[in-house]
Amino acid sequence: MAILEIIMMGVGTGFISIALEASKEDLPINAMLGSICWATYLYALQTFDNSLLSVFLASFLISFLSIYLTRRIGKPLQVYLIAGIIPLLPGLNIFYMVFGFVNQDSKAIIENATLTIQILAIIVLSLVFASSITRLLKRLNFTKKRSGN
Amino acid sequence: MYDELKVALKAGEIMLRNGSETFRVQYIIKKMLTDLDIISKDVIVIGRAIIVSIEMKDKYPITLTKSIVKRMNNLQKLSLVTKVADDYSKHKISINETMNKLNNIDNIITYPFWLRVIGTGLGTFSFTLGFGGSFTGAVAIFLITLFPAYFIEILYKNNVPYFISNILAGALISTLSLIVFNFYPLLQYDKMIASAIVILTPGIAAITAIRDVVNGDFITGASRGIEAILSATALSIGVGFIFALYVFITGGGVWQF
Repeated sequence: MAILEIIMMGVGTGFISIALEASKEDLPINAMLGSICWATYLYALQTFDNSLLSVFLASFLISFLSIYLTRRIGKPLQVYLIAGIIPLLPGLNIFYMVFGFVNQDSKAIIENATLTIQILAIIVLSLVFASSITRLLKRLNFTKKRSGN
Repeated sequence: MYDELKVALKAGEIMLRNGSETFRVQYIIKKMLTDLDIISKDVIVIGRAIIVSIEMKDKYPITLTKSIVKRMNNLQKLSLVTKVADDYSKHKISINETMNKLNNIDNIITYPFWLRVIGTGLGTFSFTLGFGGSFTGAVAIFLITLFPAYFIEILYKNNVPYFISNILAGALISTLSLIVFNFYPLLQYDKMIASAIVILTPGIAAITAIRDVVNGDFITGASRGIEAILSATALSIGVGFIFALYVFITGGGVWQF
């Protein structure tokens, strides 16, 4: 069942990339990123039983892969990053928040609003971490090459 | 020199209009200003405006500004402009060729309108299954999403403010969902609506906004952040209003999770 979910998340990411007008050659890559993202999220959720940590790990991996693909293919980071993290966007929490408004359930509103903001912040944080580590590795590599010469 | 500035500004304009972050617009413009006579170049991007100023040897400085009206997401245009900027900065293509290519990119239609609408529908279909929903629910949300996806595109083309279009799209999704709910009360509506909302959620705008802030551009980041919050609010108003109306008319709960 989980494999079907992972595949469908990838297929969905590919279709949403059409709506985001990604070029045709990027569609399979984006679909792959969507699947990897969801597989990581599910695996981390099963292992650590913590949704925020799972979001962090999944988006961290996607950020790394996006940075790698950007350098390899020469396209902007957004092309891969945006598509890759779509499965993590907190649609369900926004829905529950709206539902809280309708049912006048303040607890649900606050809980889901906080979670929505936390998820978005964690996605960005993971990207900042991934890009900082990549820069650091690049600099270390550069220094090593210079000292080697 | 003026031509080179115009070309760089055109590239920046396309990038900004199609959802690029501020710092990338600045980077692309600076990268394209390659003339050796340039002593200093300054690029300022605030919200929806670009200001480029260059200073040259023994000449008056030139400043050009450009503002954009609409902003959308087109990943292909971002890729193509980056490639053209790269080629131009490496002197692989001439200035006229670059301008022609940028004009072509600006007018390019990546996918026809119907394909984008169906793509959105199939996206929600797959996401519903991905979230663990049923096949019947996925088919239902596919059909439901086609209407707001079509509607939003039409409203965007007719310059209707995004706040209004998001309210209407949210209302349309919840109305159609409630109609289906009356016929098939056993479907998993939370997963269905969540996957539909993922499409309309301004998550991408929010992430771009936070990235701008992280990169030190607080004004653009804040304005984009407010735009994202307003979009989400509009969506919530649309969905919430219809649900509240339904509860008011029927006198009962919508459904429990």
